[in-house]
Parts: sequence; C-alpha cells; structure tokens
Amino acid sequence: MINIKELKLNRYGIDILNNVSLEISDNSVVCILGNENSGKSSILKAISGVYQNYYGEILIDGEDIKYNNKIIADILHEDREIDSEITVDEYLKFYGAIYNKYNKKELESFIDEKLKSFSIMSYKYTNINMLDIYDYKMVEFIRILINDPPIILFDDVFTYDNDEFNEKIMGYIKNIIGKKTLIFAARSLNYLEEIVTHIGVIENGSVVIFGDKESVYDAAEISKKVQVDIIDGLSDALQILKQNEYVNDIIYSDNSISFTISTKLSSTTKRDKLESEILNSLINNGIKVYSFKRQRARFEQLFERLVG
Amino acid sequence: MRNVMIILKRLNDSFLKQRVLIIMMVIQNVILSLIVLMYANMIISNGRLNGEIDYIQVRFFYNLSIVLLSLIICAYSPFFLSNTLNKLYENNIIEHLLSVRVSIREIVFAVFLRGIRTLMILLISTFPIISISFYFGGFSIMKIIRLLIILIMFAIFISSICIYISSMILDKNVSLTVAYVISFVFMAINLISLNRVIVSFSMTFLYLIAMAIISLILLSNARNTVIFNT
Repeated sequence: MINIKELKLNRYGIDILNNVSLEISDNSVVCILGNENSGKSSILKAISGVYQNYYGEILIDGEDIKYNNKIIADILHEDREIDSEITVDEYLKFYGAIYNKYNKKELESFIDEKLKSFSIMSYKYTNINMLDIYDYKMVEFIRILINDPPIILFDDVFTYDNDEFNEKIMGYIKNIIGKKTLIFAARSLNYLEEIVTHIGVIENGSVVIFGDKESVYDAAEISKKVQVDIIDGLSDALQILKQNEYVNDIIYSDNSISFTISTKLSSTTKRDKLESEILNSLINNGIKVYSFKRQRARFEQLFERLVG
Repeated sequence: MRNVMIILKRLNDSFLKQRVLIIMMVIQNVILSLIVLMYANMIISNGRLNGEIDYIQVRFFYNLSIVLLSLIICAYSPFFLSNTLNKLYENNIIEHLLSVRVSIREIVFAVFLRGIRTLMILLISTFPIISISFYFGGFSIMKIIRLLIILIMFAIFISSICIYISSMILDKNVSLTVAYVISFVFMAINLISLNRVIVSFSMTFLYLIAMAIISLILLSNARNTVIFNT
C-alpha cells in the first residue's frame, strides 16, 4: 500500500505539487493523467526517491521512504541518461551491481535472456546513447526487471506514436498485472484504458480527482451523456433509442433528446463506436439530425482531451 | 561504501583513460625534471664561478618547487572536478542513481574519490623529483614529509571547493572559471602561510585540521545543493 499524505513540492520557487494525497492499494494499476508540467511525473519521482526535498509523507507499507533505502519502487524514466560512454551491457551490469540481486554469472545470463526476448540482443555492445528511444525504453524495462521491485513506475512510457513498440511493452506489462503495483504518469489513456484500475487527474500540481476507474468516469460524467438535436423525426428517434440496450435516462423536448450511455462500457473506444452506431442508425432511418454531441462534463476540457 | 565503489568504477570508465593519465604524468615529470636540472645547473655554475654555493639561490629553488606543486594542484583540480556534479546532473545520471536509492552522499563521495585519485597520482608522481630540491634546500626529512602532507591536504581542500562549485553552478564554463579563480586565490593564501605553518608540528596539525574541517563542510554542502537542484 502506498500512502501519500499532503505532498508538497517546491522547486526554484514554483509550487510543483500542492497537498497531493493518494492511497494506492497493492497490485493495482494506476494512471495519473495530466498535461505537460502538471506534476504527474513529479509524484512518480518523489515516490522513487529522486525528489527528496518535499513536505509531507510518502509511506510504502507504513514505512516512510525518506528513511528507507530499499528499492521498493523503481521508475522507468522518461528522460534517458545522456553522454554515457557505456554499452547496453555495461549499463545493465552497472545497475545490476547496485541492485545486488544476482551474482555476476546469473546477472549475465539474465541480461542475455531478456535482451533476446526483447529482440535487442544485437545492441548488447552498442553505446547506450546510440539507441533510438524505443530500444532505450526496452533496455530500461530490462533494468527494472533485473530489480523486480513490487512497485513499478512508468513515466510517460506510451508517449510515442509507435504501435509496434507500445504493443510490445504492453505485452510485457500485461504479464505483471496483478503481481505488482503499476503506476503510470501519462498524458492520455491510450493503451492504458483497458488495464488501469484507478485513475487520478492532476492539474497544476493538485489532484483534481482520484479513484477507481468507474467512479472517476462517473464523477467526470464524460462520454456518458449525449445530446441529439433533431430537425425532424423526434418520435422515430425516441423509438430507435429506446430499443438500444445501452441507452438509458432518455429525456426529450421539442427537438432535442438527451440520454446516457451505459457505464458498463468501460472503454471510451467502445463508447465512441456505440455513439457512431447510434448516430448512423438515426440517419439511416431518415431522421434529420442537427447535432450530436456529448454534454459538457465537470472536467470535460481537461478530461476529454486526456481520455478521448 | 559498496555503491561508492560501483559508481567510482563507472566514473573511472567514462572519464580519464588510463593511457591519457600516464601520458600526462610523463609530460609533467619531464617538464619538472628539466626545470630542476636547469636550476641546479645554474646554481652549480655560479658556485664554480664564485667558489661557493649561494644559499639564497637554493632557498629560491625550494620555493619554486612548492609553487610548482601548488600550480599542479590548482591547474588540475578545477579541470578534473569543477564540472562533475553539474555534468552528472545535466546528463540525468544523478536522477537515475537517486531513483535506485543511491544516496547523494555516496554520489558526492564517489565523485570526490575519482577526482582525488587522479590528482594524487599526478601529484605524488612528482614527489621524488621535487623532494630532491627540498633535501638540498637544507630541510630535514620530517619537514619535507610535513610539507608534502600539507600539499596533499591542500589538494583535498581545493578538490572539495571545486566539487562544491560543480554542485552550485550548472553552467560548465562559469563553474570552470570560478573554480580556477578561487583555486588560485587559495593557492596564494597557502603559499603565504606555508613557511609559518611548517615551523612547528602543532601549527602544521592545526592547519591540516582547519583544511579538513572546511573540506568536510564543503562536501556536505555540495550534497545539500544537489538535493536542492534535483
């Protein structure tokens, strides 16, 4: 259990985090969503021990991390080490020596095995700076696997538009879901939506909302309420909507219908698909639709961009 | 200490190659030997002409040797150490090390050891040549040892200043310039006070203790500055 209590962080006179309090249970998959410079990475860096001059408490299983030198939470960094004149092999061995979990021979065979399984064995003796960002992130992932910590922090790991890389990393992440606590700092839920159990939204260093996925969706009322403005064919439209098993809470006036889409649809992608199916069914039945839009939600501006 | 040795190994691997160090050592000792030989030759020639050795010239020879040693310290320390912590910080290495729970104290200590090791190799390699001038300058072996210990402590002191500067100033050129200016100011202070300090054992001891305490304070502050900057 990670318990963050009133975390405050100020760097160079700027408040990075303001009274952030979070409770993250064991083996959950958490995504902290936020725009650039919102403070999401700072939370991860504070948990991992990079930032030490914060106020408040970060307790992992009741122990304050400030007074515990064990590597309980390891972070897959957003930024790479630069100007390091070392090879991938030396890099992994260096961190392997710090983790001190394997003897020299075991570490060597573990590294070889992982490099092979990530299909980057050919880069073993390549300078770490020569790797592209995707191969570097895979090396970082191997580094974390050497340590095998109970908590893994992922700082903007799916930022890049490389489906092959994202799916590859996601494949490895799926193998550890339920066995470890995974915390992602991300700008969107792309690739993460189906695996996250909890979502936190952070804005200007403050947590706007944090909770399990459904409660966050409900609270944000996003992707749920839809409003359809109709020029002609209101009664036909009502009939079509009533027949749809996912459509609830239909309210209508002269030329407008609003309804909610079932919250059982956890995925926004599925919800988007359903929305377009409903719209198509209305148009195909000769109903003249003037507009079809989601209703404004509490955190729509921020959340829609992040989630949708 | 385990982590310090691991980091030290990595810093050594990525910093000054052994071959470069040996070349530097050979060049500086050749230059020093030439200076010593030329000056000794001048004193002997004058002696042959005048029928006696001018002791003032020998004393000057001894002072020149101390200046040369101090110059070596003040030339190398900023070069090796004024861009260490800021470089590690800029290259995200400190951030990565902290995330695997390596303490800042261990990082600072490893950087210090890396710098001081290189500096000591270069400095101590000059001692045999320089000691000749001290010996012929009429100094007792004990005084020579005392003087060399002071110079080693001075090297540690200047190194600590440079590490502290590297933790404070992130711009590499500025930090190098500031380190050189401060090192040469302290070199002047050290040279002025040296003759008074080595007169007695207690004075030497106090001087060493003072430099050691200031060095520890500087290294401890370097750690705090890294916490602030990270």
